[in-house]
This record gives sequence, C-alpha cells and structure tokens, in this order.
Amino acid sequence: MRDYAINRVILLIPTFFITTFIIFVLVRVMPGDVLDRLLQDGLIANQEQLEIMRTEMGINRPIVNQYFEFIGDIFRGDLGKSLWTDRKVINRIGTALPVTLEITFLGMLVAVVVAIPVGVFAALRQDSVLDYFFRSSAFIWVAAPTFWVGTIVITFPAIWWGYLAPIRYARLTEDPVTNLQQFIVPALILGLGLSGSLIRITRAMMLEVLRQDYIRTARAKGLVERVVIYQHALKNAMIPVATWIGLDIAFLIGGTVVIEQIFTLPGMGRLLVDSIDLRDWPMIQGAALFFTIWILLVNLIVDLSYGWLDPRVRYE
Amino acid sequence: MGMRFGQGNAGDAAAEQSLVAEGLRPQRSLLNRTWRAWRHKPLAATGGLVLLFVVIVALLAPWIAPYNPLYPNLGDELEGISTTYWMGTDNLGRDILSRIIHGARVSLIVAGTSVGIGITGATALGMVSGYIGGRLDRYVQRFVDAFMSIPALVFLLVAAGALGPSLQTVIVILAVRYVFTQSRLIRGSVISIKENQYFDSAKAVGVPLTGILWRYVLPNVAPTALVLATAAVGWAILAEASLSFLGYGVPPPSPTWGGMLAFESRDFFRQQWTMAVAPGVILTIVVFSMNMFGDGVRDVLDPRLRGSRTEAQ
Repeated sequence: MRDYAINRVILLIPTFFITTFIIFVLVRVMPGDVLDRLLQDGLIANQEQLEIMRTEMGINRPIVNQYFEFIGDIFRGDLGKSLWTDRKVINRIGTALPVTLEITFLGMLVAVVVAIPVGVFAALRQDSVLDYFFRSSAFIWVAAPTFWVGTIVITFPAIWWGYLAPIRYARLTEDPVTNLQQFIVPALILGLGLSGSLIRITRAMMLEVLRQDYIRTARAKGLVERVVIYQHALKNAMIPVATWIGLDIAFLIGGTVVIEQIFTLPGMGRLLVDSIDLRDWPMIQGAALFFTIWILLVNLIVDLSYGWLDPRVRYE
Repeated sequence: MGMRFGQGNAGDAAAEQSLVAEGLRPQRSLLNRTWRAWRHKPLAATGGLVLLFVVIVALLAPWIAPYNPLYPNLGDELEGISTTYWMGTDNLGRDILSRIIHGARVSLIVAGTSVGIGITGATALGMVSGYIGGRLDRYVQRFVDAFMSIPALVFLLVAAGALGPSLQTVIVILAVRYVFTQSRLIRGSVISIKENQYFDSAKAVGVPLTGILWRYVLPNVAPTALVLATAAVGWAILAEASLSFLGYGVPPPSPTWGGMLAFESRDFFRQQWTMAVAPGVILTIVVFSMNMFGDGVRDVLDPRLRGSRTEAQ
C-alpha cells in the first residue's frame, strides 16, 4: 500500500506541470489583450504608458520564462493581481471559495439523500413498475440541462407565486437563514441532476451484490431480510458507490459554474466566467488553477481509498 | 432496457446468425428484426427512432421550417402559440419552431463532427499508447491525466475565450478534449487483449506495426470506440448548449438551443413562456434519446462497460 501511495503521489507531479501549462498557454492566447482594451477606453493615456505597463507585468518576456515564474509564484502562494481592480487573486478566490464549497456540499447531500434510497429500492423491486419509473426519471434528470432547469425555476415560480430568491448574497456566518434560502434551490437542482447517475450506479451495485453467494448464505441461515439487505448487501454495494460520489464531487464543482451564473451567486464559477468576459488573465488563471488542483486532490483521495479498499488496484 | 441485469443480446444474436448460416432457420425480414429489437430494448429502439427523426429534420431544415429562423417578423414580437406560429415568436419576432429546427442542425453538426474527430483521434492515440506501451505510454498517459483533471466546462470556457467563440472553435475544443479523455478506455481494452498469441504470430511472420494495429488491434477496440462515440454525442450536445448559454458557444444570430435560453432573453421569458420552455424540452428529449440509444448500443456491443462513467467527461 505504501509503495502504491508513493507512486500515485509521484505521478501527480508531471500531471500538475502539464495541466498548469495547458491553462497558462490558453490564457496567454486570449485575444484582445486587456491592456489594449484599457487603451481604447482611455484608461491608459498613450502607447508609451502601455509599453511601460507591459514591461512591469512581464508579458514581454519569453513564454517559457513566464511559465516558470508563474509556477514559482504558485508555490509562494502569489497568484498575482486582478488587472481591473488591483485586488489580489488569492484574496478574491478566498471570498468566492466558500460559496462554491457550500453549494457543492449541499448539492452532494441532496444527491446522496435522494439517490441511495431510491437506488436500493429500485434494485429490490427489480423490473417492477416503480423500478422503471425511477430509472426513467433518473435518465431524464441526467439529460435535462442544469442551465435550463435553473432558468425555468427562476422564471416561472416568480410569475405563479411571486416567489423570488433573495438577490443579495448573504454569508452563512452572518445571515444563515437568508443564505440557506438562496442556496437551497440551486442545491436541489444540482443535486437532483447528479442523483440520476448515482441512482443507476447504486441500483447496479445492489443487484450485483444481491446475486453473490454470501447473500444466499445469509438468507439460508435464516437472517431477517432487513438484516440481509442493510447489514450484508448495502455495506458492500456502497464501496463503489462511495468512489463514484468522490468522483462526482470533482465533476460537481465544474457544474457549479452554470448554476452560480443563473442564481447570481458570487462563487468560483461566476468568478471564472466574469474574468473571461473581462480578459482578466491573472484571475482566469487563478480560478482555473483552483478547479484543477481540486480535481487532482479529489482523484488522489479516490485512488488511494480505492487502493486501500481493493488490493487488486495496487498492482495494476 | 427491457433486459435483466447481466448478459446483453449479443449471444442471442450470434446464435441466431449461426442457425441462419446453417440453413436451419430462414433469414428474418428487416421489419421482423426491427420489431424484435424493439421488444427486447424498447427504450433504446425508441431513442434510436427519435434520433433518426432529429437527423432528418436537421437535414431538411430549410424545407420544413415554416419561416426563416433569422427573419424578424415585425409587429409579431412575443406572440404566443397560434396556428401561424406553432411555438410562438421571440422578442425579435422570430419564429421559435423554425429556430428550433435550424438549431438541430447546429447541434448535430457540432456533436457529429467533434465526436467523429475526437473518437477517431482517441482510438488512434489509445491504440498506439496501449500497444507500444513503455515510455511512450507513460508520457501520453500524463497528458491524458492532465486533460482529465481540468473540469470539462472550465477547459471549454477558457479555451473558447482564448480562441474566440465560433462554430469551429466549439468543434475543435470538444474534439481535442475527446481525443485525450476518451483514449483511456481504448488503451485499457488494447492492454487487455495484447497478450493474445496471435499478436506474437503476426509479429513473427513480419507484419509491420501499422498492419498489426490496423488489422488486429482495431477490430478488437472498434466496439468500444463505437460505444464511446454514442455516449459522447449526448454529452457534446449538452456541452455545446451550455457553452452557447454562457455566451461562449456558437455566437448569435445562429439559432442554437443553448443560445435561445441565454441570459439576454431572460427578461422576455416571463412574457412569452414558450421561449424558455421549448428549447429546453427539445434538448432534454434529444439528449435523453441519445443516452437511451447509447445504452442499448453498449449493452449489445460491450457489456463490460456497463455502468462505467461514459456519460460525463
């Protein structure tokens, strides 16, 4: 296990460099350099001042040098400053992060609370009408785009019942009630969207486990069905489901991009989209970097826990 | 999906074929076979039919659409459902039904091209990386890891922002993403078959590498590639719609399902509900059908992939 863990962590290093390089290059390719826009808007007086600023920001130097400086800065915890507001990128991420974490956590919670009971139930009543019903709804939830469901929810309840989600973002620590009012609907949408695939995997895993010999043994020795299902089957079926949930956390954080946009929540996704609109590349870089590191870490944890649970994985 | 969990229909089909080959059973008519497929996998078959319908609509768009999707019918802005405008009109007086019909074209062009290029590239990369192995494989796989650790929408948004949003950009960035992320499963199936003795035999008689890849590896991974491709189409349609919704997909005035739901129009959704409902319902139906169809294809071609994460990349 130790060798596997060490190997897995070492593999992270080249991946980290390649990912950051992809992001770095993409951001540098971005047309409409923000300085040109500042010049157009009259915020920079003339061509000379523009050149001075270019030199100051170091965007005149070779791209490879810039990349290694960027990496150095990451390790010093310095992600640069916004080109528009002069705010430090790292501070800006600091304010946006709690929003995204909260919505991710709540969305995950909704998904798990809905999907696991439904998945288990569908497996126990395989091929019944309800099984078909749950499975088709799971497929529909997977297919319905989050941005559409969000748009519908924000449009129609307002007409029918005059429902409006609080617009101004309230922090969880300052005004928990308003905060939850703001987060509950987006979390439901995100969570239900995610529950689709989770229902399917839970159902499949339960069916797989229920066919195992030890379940037959458990039944044969006269255990109550409830004990067979919950103690013997569910526990074993949950191992791959837990991995799946881990992977979903990684995907969910990407899904928040759209939902934050619709519900005007000032999280990481919103920060990313707004920064792309403004061509604020230090900010784009910082936000994209954050998403990537998040996924790298989640994948690492998933792989390690899987290696720990299932020894075969270590020798692949 | 009418099947029980377990084996797909591939076995039945093979047995059927051999019976036919031995002349023990007459060849069934096309109609009969279609009916049998329907009975065994009703959802997959229905999904396939819906897709066929969408493809036909997209191909014939200029002839079936009642109006020009870009033409503003002045004075008819925000009309509700009527016999003149079956799905109403938008805030510029454009016919929503016509925009949806033409939007099918954009969706299918983006999904078809990006998946076509992407899965072909992924198959090539996965075959080479998996078969040759060694150092090359290690390097390639680190790139695959890298692409897999940038969340899809984050990559697509930043890339679209960098290259400037356009139809071509959306196709290229989706294809690039597919080449890397989808190659892993192909590589996996290459590795699982490469110990077979016929590879040694082929090498021994001097078949060159390209010949081995083309004649012996490709037929083995083709079913996997096809399964990945069907799963990828639904996702590509959603990805394009999400990008267009955020303003980084196919730019207006091109009619796209995602773009029709975009932010700028939101204020009008309250006045004319079909503007918000119609594109989303169509999107959901198409992606749903695609996923159903893809699941059916997977069960028949590659039951091992069942439950694998092919829907989200």
